[in-house]
Amino acid sequence: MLIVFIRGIIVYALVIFATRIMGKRQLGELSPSELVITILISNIATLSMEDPSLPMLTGIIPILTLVCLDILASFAALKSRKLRHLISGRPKVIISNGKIDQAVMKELRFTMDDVCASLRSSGVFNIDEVQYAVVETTGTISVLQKAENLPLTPKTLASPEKAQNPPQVIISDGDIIASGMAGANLDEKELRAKLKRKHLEPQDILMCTIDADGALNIIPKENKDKS
Amino acid sequence: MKRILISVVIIAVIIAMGCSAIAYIDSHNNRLYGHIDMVLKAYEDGSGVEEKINDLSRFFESYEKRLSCIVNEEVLNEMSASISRLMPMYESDSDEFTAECETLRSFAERIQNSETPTWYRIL
Repeated sequence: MLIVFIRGIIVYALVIFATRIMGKRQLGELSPSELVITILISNIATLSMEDPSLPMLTGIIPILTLVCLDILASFAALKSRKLRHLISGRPKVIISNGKIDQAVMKELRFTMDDVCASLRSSGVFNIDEVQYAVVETTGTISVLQKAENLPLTPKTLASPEKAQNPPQVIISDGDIIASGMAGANLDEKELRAKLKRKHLEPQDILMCTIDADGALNIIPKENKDKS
Repeated sequence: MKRILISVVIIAVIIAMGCSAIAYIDSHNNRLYGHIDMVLKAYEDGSGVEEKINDLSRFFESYEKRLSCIVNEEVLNEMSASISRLMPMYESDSDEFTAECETLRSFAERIQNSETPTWYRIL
């Protein structure tokens, strides 16, 4: 009995350490990889706690290995966009310009009931009110309502906004984002020409978005701040 | 960056501990094989068998204690049961005395193999 009690204390301390070392990312909504790690850790922790015939190390080592691999994978994902998409997936635009993309729905195996339920949880009860919706990597849907359904603010009172999609990310961490470029109907040559006029190259840019009017919003990398 | 460093250190420590565990088991097993060989030799010679069995039992106590934090307790329990059978077997002049010693050796080999990372064990 005392052995299980002491093992419980050790596993508790280890799981707290594991959660802390994984960082705040772990405490919010879970991405697929984080969900898998969390389920695995809880399972391994229980096993080593309740079976005294197993050495404690057979519980401690896999937990630490999973946590370390998660940290190293998130570090690698930070450096490589491809790896990031491989590990966490990528957000999918499910409604654009008020139209549902049925191919994306099919790909995500979402039913209309799922979409409506997610919209309702975002406070939208009429699908006609949606201008743009994205299924995030965590599975939640982020919704932008049409301009006429947005709450009135001093800015919109002065000049009412047109119904348009949110700005598209076309450069992130110096990489040109093909899906963003396609969404903005922009080709790479045109983009490079626009950047050249600002004396910038894509690799100098941390993030660049383009709005529906074609205006670029550029955030340069700190060490390459030329604009 | 601190987390990355901690992760790399933890992984390095785990790998080092894994390798040390194999070496540790190997050295303890070699000593156990030595004790088993001495018991068998004494049994062949027909003298000092009780003393050698007691030496083996004493060594196994520390062997069990040290290896219990690395390997599954079940195998160690089976080895312990096997050792406790040696003395009654010898006293009753059982034919299976030598076989029991070899069983003990095969248990120790099983422990060694269970810690060695080979593909068929991983998969």
